[in-house]
Amino acid sequence: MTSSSPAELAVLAEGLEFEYPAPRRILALKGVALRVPKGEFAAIVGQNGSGKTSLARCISGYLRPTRGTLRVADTEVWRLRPAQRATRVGYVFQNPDHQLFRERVWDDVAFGLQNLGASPDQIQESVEQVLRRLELWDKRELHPFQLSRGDRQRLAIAAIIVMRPQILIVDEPTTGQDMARSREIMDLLARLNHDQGMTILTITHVMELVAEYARWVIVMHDGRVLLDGPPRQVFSRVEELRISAISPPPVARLGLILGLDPLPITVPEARDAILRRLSV
Amino acid sequence: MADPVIALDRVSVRYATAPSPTLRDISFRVEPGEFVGIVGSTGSGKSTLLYLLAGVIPHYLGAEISGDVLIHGRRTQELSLARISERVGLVLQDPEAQLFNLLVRDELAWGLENRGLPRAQIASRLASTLSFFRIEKLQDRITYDLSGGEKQRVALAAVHAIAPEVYLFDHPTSQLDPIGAAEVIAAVRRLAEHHAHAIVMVEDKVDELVEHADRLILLDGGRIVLDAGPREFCLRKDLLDAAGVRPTQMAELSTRLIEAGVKLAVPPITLEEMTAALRGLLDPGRGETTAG
Ligand SMILES: Nc1ncnc2c1ncn2[C@@H]1O[C@H](COP(=O)(O)OP(=O)(O)OP(=O)(O)O)[C@@H](O)[C@H]1O
Ligand SMILES: Nc1ncnc2c1ncn2[C@@H]1O[C@H](COP(=O)(O)OP(=O)(O)OP(=O)(O)O)[C@@H](O)[C@H]1O
Ligand SMILES: [Mg+2]
Ligand SMILES: [Mg+2]
Repeated sequence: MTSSSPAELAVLAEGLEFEYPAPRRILALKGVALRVPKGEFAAIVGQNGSGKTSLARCISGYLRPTRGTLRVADTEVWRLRPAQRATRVGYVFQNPDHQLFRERVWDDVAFGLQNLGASPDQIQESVEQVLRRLELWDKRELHPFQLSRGDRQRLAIAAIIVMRPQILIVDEPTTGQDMARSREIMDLLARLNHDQGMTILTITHVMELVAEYARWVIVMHDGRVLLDGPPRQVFSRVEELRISAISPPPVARLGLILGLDPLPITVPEARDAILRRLSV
Repeated sequence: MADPVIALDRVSVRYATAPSPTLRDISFRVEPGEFVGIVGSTGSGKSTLLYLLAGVIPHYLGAEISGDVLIHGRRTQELSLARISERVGLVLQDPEAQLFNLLVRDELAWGLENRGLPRAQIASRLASTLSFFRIEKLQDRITYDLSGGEKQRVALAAVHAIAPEVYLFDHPTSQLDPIGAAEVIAAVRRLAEHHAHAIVMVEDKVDELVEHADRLILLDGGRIVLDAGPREFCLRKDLLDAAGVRPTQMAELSTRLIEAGVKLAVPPITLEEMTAALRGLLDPGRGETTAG
């Protein structure tokens, strides 16, 4: 992963620092080093307050780094105008209610395209396509606040992906969703990643979903990236995880206790690993 | 046996604007010191049930209620919201809807000040709450620019500070890091055990509930379809599947192993049980001593 040239990287950070300005002066990022190749499906995990949302806001260009290097799709995103930024990187807020502000579901999705100067026909077509894909078409005339929390979360994603960003950052997209809805959202992200090659960065506290969906895991601790790697490898680093307030999914913990190798991280993998051990 | 703190007898609720009831024929009791988990898929009526217990329904949200909702033997319909909130603390699903003071410190203190507690007591209560939720460093911060998980910790702490007899939690750990979530649920267990608080917690982390709750209630389409101890709850796969809820990962693994012909006399539902059972199978001599 370290060998990729800058042009192949979705995100390149070196010594990245960010401080929330005076009077608060909180140093949220204290030297982040990170390389995410284009087309990756990565999860950002870590303790509350470790800097995940702050990093996401920097990558999406909402916050300007205080010090250090940050290149997103090979540009310094915070220098771009919002319309230029939107096709490179999209950020879905931790709380969808901070992002939805139009009177109708349809308008919330059309808003970004209008700003990009798309033609009415293009807008009509893209908005319909995205709303259908996210199962919100029947609700297009409703006020966003008439939707359930789960629908609002998908609407917030719709409003961003309609602009077809190269990189999509979603901040805790499954909060408040039941397991079935959470999987629907993750399946959607997986399809965008697979079909359109969209680079996905998802922030989450749900390790079961990390194990099932992410190909790369980035562990934040106290304003830095403490560790990154494929889920199976990261979930075996007990000590680093403990200080990052992460516990691996129960099946991975079982695998560690029983010394199963390779480490199972999903239920079917655990079953297979145990059956293999029992038959020898 | 102590009198129940909460008693519902065949209660149905229909929101004023809704064509049909959201909760149907709900009956259950919670004793002092009991920790009851509520599980169900989205829209099954979990928040509505908590609003009902907190008196938000019907005092704040208009709804038609049939049947009795009793808190300490008094019907909530006949008590004012202020009276109910002396005994019942509700932590909302969305912490931002709950925080309304500028400073974290004030958010935690205002409930105590409202109750006219002496300053010294407020200070000591604040100190213990801040450390309970590991937010000592946040006390002078402005609530609206905290991180998501930090806001949730403050919302929990604000209710903990007033030490209500009955705690109602709506997805209290949805934005907490995994170890933080496990700690909060374990700490809630201690509130019930050592201080005889009654706890009703809506939570989708079944793995954690099974470790700490006395009973789990499964809601499906506004009805209670299962009210059982952790083991029985996890083993009713039929009802869980129908309600769109999964049991613990270990219960799922048990099912898969049993399907594949592995002999597990009592299907393990927790990590500890699974470890003991598999050690027994993988290494029988050692397993017996570990399990025993
Ligand atoms: N608007 C803000 N102003 C000042 N400080 C902030 C602001 N937003 C976040 N912080 C602080 O910056 C640090 C990092 O916060 P951030 O929101 O990035 O954490 P996070 O990893 O996303 O946490 P969580 O898991 O709780 O969402 C924390 O100490 C937080 O209190
Ligand atoms: N104020 C209201 N007026 C009318 N209907 C409502 C109101 N609040 C909730 N409902 C409806 O009642 C049902 C149950 O909602 P409730 O919020 O209790 O579900 P929940 O189990 O808490 O779901 P979630 O897991 O998504 O939070 C839903 O169909 C919802 O649309
Ligand atoms: Mg965050
Ligand atoms: Mg709810």
